[in-house]
Amino acid sequence: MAAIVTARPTYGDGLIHQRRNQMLGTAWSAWFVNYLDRTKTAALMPLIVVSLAMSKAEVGWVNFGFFIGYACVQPFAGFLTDKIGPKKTLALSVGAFAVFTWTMALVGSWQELLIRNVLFGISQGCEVTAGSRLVATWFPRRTRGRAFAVHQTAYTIAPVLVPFIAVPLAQALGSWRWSFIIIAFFGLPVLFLIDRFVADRPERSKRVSERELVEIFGVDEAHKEGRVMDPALAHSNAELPPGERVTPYREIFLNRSVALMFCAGFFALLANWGLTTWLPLYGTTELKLPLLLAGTLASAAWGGQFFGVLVGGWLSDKVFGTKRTPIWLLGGLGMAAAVLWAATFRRGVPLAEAYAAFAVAGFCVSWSPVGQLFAPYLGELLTPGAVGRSLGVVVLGGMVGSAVAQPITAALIRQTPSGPEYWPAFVAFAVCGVLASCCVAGMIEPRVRRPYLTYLLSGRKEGAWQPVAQTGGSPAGGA
Amino acid sequence: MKATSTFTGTAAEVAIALCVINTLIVLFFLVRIWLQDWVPWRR
Repeated sequence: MAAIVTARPTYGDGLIHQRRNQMLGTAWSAWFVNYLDRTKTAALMPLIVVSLAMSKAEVGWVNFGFFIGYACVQPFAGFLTDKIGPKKTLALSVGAFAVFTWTMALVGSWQELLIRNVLFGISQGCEVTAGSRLVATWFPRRTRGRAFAVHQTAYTIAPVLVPFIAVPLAQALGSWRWSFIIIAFFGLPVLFLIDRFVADRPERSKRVSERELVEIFGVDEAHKEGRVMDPALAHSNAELPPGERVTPYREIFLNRSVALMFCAGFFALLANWGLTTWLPLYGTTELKLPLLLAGTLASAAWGGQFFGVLVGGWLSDKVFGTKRTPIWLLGGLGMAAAVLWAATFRRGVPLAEAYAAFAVAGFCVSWSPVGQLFAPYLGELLTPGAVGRSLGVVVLGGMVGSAVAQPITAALIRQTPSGPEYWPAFVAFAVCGVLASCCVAGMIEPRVRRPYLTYLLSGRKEGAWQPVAQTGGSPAGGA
Repeated sequence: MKATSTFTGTAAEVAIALCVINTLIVLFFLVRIWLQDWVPWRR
């Protein structure tokens, strides 16, 4: 951790001059390249399958390898983020992206590809906890929702752009392998940006002005020095850096809201990956659409997610007064309604209607505890310094949901003489949306100190919830 | 589009060279970021 800074620079109020926005742009780039590999591997998979003579079962194992590596590393990645700091964790993750991407170009069998994918999943699993912890630490509560929404747009843009990068590269250079050699270099500018613009904490960066520091933490907290950097090890808030409060391990891991978030994440990502992965096949086999049009159904869902994360972050900050759980409550129910609408579609359905349903489903599925607002929420429920560890648990739930989504969806598709029917799978996704909302309904909304539904039912009376170790001092994100 | 099983000839040499360059640059940045708290000129 860098030494305490005594002399600070001055700079203007422009959006790009603010160090927290420069840090956000860098974290966004890291999240974008993280998604680059998984989506470019999917886009080039038809060529890889031919080249390595892979069967469908082997393709399934290779895809499963990435998800299982990604899921298993989450609790460890959370600890790593909080212990060595988000900057080093982010740099490790992006460095591993660059190295493992070129290893993809040299694989000679599906077994090598499987091992590479497991290792790649493990390395890439470290990015989300680091990026989330940075946003929770660097942004004041009043703008965290929007800042994290910008961060999360990266995962919605990558799947749309990547086919236009990876496939033309493979076509121009005559082999899918060259795409991986070239795209491996995309990680290098991001490493440069991390080195230049990212610091673990704003008050420890000599590039942050006094004015910006006050804007992030408020006048009272901005000059706290902090002798103990880990909120789980401190005995009083006075020992901690600005914006942090004492949060013992039992509060992080024996927390009802974190446990419910784990379950909601499982259901939400099961529905999300089940839906987006199978949409092209659904389009061609059930709706009998041409391949290109069927592919655009998934694009409609990703486009919906892009607008979903931006609108959700803005609504949370500006309309719901920095409450996070109302967005997730609405998201699960909205997704269920949109997917049930899609379950009624049969061959000949107007294309505009199909696009609308899947765009709305994508919009709402992004309003989930693993789609957006999770960094602000955990920073406010616990403390920004514990976001890595708690998020590791939550993302583990989501990734288990992602991994089981594929076999569950496959098992639910009904084979009939006229072709496959997907409505049972869509009904299952709708049930997942409702279950995710039910889990969210039991979670504490820190802003009103009780679950949001009981707050509404009680005539907007605030509850009595308190953090386990409330030892005085201002709450997390005091600005 | 051709689906090659491995790189051969000059393509293999170019590919390996690019991989080595990539890895060296990654290592450079990781060491630089790791040492930033310890070397006097980066404090």
